Amino acid sequence: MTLNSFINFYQKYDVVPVVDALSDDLIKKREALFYHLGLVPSFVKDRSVIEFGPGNGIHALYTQSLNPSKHVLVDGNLKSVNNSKENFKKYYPNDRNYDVVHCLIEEYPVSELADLIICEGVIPHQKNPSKLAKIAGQHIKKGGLFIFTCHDYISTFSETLRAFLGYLLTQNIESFEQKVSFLSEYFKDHFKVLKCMDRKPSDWVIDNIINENCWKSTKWFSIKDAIQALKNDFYLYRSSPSFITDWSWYKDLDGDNLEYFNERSEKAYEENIHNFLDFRFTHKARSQYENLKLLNLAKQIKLLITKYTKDNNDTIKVIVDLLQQFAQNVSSFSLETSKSILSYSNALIAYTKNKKIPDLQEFKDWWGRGNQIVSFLKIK
Amino acid sequence: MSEVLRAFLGYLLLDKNQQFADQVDFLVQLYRDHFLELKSMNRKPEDWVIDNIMYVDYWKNSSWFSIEDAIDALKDEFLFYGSSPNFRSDWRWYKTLSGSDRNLFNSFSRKQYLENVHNLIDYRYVFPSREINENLKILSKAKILRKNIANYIDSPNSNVLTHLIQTLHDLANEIDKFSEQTSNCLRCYIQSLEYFFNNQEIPDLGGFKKWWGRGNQIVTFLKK
Repeated sequence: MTLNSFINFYQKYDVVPVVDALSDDLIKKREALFYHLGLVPSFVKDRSVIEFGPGNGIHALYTQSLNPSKHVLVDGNLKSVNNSKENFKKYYPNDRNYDVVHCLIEEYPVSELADLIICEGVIPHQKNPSKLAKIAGQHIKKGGLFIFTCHDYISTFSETLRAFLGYLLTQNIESFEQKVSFLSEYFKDHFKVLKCMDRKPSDWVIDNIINENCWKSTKWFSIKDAIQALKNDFYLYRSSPSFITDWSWYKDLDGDNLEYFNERSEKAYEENIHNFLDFRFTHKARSQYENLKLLNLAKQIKLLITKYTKDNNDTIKVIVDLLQQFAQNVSSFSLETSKSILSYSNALIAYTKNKKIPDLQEFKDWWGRGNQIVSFLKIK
Repeated sequence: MSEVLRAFLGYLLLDKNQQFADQVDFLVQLYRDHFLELKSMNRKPEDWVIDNIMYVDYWKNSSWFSIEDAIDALKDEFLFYGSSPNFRSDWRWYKTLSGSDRNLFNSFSRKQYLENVHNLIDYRYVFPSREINENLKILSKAKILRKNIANYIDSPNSNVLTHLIQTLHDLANEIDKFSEQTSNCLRCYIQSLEYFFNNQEIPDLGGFKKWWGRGNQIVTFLKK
């Protein structure tokens, strides 16, 4: 098995930084997610399911409770595999319809096709997300549903900025444990606004800041990228958050509607990209042109941040200039978000001047709609 | 609304002494050009006029059952799940929608229905959502219109007719606020109706021919 950088990181520190306990609350959250994704829970009964990258298998326990005919969990991290096995043994000691396989997605053999594939939090962090999405999609039957996560430069923008600052502040801390402890404390107030955060803050900082691959090297995998990757065989069915409306008469949609559905979704995505920037607000759709400008700025900033972490060159000033341009664009639809960005920009300037730990003020409450979870229906 | 208006005019123009089959033929001819606008109509025009015009109870007395009504009727045991057409967006984080907050799916869907009910008036267009109060004005006028129509059929007199025409004008003014094209169609209808009452001749419906609503909404509810 060829390990990828993520699995390398997890195995190096012997961590699975995802949810680690099943609760009634978590079950209800899964129900709510399935609702957004157009998946009727009772329709999972007697259907086959594969979950790629299930972490500790906690989310998969909910799927198991729906009585699938066959349920396979595939993970490249041995600790995840062992934790999943333990959790399934604990919660479903008599069930024989599941299997936990230690294997990379790319290496899992295409044999029996599944009705439902779930692949959360895995694809956008890969070197070639489109390729991996296509590989995972090969395991689905015609008419089956493919659920996975998407991120883009806008939705992850606030998190990229957090990660960059976290990186700067811990550059001189050697120990992994000390880094975790410092960052968990530093961002403590930020987590308070996320009322429904499932993960422990320490797991979040490990996965999103200390695991630099997560924010430095990834190209992300936006909803548009996903449509482009899968459009020959799938169409975007639903998403969480849900932003696609369709006023067409279903009777007009006979024949090959694949192209129509995907084009409609791509347009809706581009008109709403700005709504992924700040989870506190929802704004009216706006022109694709304006949103693509915003997306491009976010991408430039991320690339400059990555460049800075590689050669520590003098790009901070350029980053600050671009952040101010970004804030200017954002002020046309959200003054509050714009203030949060400027607050970060000022903190960055102050830190580079005096190397003191900055107070992030209005930035603390700003989080994006970082994860979009999508369902694609296979129709070919 | 557009179908009720077609039914009313069809009813007025129909010679009730004719044989059933001749009445069907007459109405099919009257609305032939209208059906051409509906590219994906499954039913034969004959079936449509029988079901939607000659069966008077259907459009005169039925109380309808809107998405709002359906949510109100089923909300204790069901969650509104989806619809065609699909008018709902939801930017909330799914993790905030667990537990008792799940019931917010119903109130949220109801709100979005009311913000978008004007989009059901004319299948040719999609408009941005509007203030609920503005849409409630249209819903209320549309209800009054049906009442006026039923009253006229039960006791045709000039007083009721005046009310009816006035309601049509009020509706045209309301619709004008978001769709001039649709309100023009409605004004064509008003002129045709007045022409008929003044001349007792079959009117040319002009631009009204192209106007159909998003008449049926098909919905799914998930049992809690």
